[in-house]
Amino acid sequence: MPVRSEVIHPYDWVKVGAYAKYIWTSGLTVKFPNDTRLWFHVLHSPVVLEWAVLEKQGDIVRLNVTLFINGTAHILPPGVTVFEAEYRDVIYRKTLFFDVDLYTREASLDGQPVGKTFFWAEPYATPGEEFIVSSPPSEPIVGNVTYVKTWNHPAVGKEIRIYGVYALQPDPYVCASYVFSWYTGVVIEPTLLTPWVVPPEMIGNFGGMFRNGTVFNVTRYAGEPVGTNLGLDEHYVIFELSETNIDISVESTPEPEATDAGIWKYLPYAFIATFIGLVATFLILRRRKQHIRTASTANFFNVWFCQMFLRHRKDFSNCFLNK
Amino acid sequence: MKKDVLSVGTALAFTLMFFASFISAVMALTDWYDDYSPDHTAYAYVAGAYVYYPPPLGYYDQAHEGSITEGNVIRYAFTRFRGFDNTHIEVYRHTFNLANYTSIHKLYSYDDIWFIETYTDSGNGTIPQSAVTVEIGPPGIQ
Repeated sequence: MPVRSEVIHPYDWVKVGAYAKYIWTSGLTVKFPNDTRLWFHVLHSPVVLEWAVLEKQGDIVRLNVTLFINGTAHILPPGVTVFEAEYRDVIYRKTLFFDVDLYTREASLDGQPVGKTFFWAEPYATPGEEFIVSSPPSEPIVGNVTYVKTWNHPAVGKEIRIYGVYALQPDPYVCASYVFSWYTGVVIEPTLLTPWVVPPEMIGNFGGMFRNGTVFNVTRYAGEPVGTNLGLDEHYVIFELSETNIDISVESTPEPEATDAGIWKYLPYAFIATFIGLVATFLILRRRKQHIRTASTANFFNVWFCQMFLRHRKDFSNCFLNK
Repeated sequence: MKKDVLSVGTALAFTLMFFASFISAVMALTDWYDDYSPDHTAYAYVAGAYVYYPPPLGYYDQAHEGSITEGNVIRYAFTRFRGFDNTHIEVYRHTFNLANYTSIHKLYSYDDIWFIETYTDSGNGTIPQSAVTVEIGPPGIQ
């Protein structure tokens, strides 16, 4: 049973000013509408994805979503090779305003529906549950809840309870992992995907693998609304939470422990204590007995010796004098 | 006269064949790079052999390897092998799931590959900690 739900109701964290920042640390490519691409070969700082709540009206939440890249990039208009391309420091920043339905997660951009987004998801998921991560209008990306666990997250600095979702589908291809906060549903590790259709002459060059080891060809890659509209030219970028002002930590109230388990866990200590006590008792008793026996024997000899001495003291003294 | 021309032609062909094979063997270049993730749970390796016929200068044989060195994959683990042409258009990409303590090694022979990348993520720790990217490209690019 969710302990925290007694304190914070789901979605209570959705307030103006709530934000989360995520990072990615490898080079990547972005694409402009005119097909010019920026290949960020060197990053001067991690790539940042940030979203913040700007407004909340009823069930609709307006989010400011920004992608920020600072690095050295090859600027590649169509057909230009990397040797001919301009190569210089570039800052790429793109901001979008998503209007997201709090409960269905369906989003729109400038009034146009773009599908289900993953900035948050339903809290209290259970392993095995089927899960629609995001849904571009035609094809949803469906995953499964694979685990629920507590994790001491380095960015949060506290223990958080999370659940993981894994999506693997061959057509359109998706191989993506997501992590959400179990109590709030806030995404902790989002995967951004952009759609792409493999050109006919390249079919066979792109492949994936099922978990049982079977390899298959990929002809289409799935996209989702965030990565697609932010201009990424990568089919897969996984971000990691680096900062948030939303309280996603585990409630400090410890969960009550079962009584039986409480008793049984002390059993080994009780066994050791009993054993040590018994050994000590036996040793003390044995020593005491020995002491009594030794003492009584000594007394017997003392008395006997004194009597003998008194009885024959003349003989003793003569013996010494004669000598 | 006809026989002379034939002899000269044959000699020229043999000379060309010899020098072609000689240049190919001598000038065949290889490049490679490997690395571990910061927490040493993921390993990535990429290698390529290319022949210096200027131009083009591309990796005609590509070797990739991705492995994980831990046995506690809770979330996921995979390795991804990619190759790009000289306009940085992706020519191939193969993604393989990894189980505990496993590795995947593949050799490819795609033509005109200028940039090769292996990305491996053990999927156990946080992403920058458990993931590693290695890449090689021709001189001037990487």
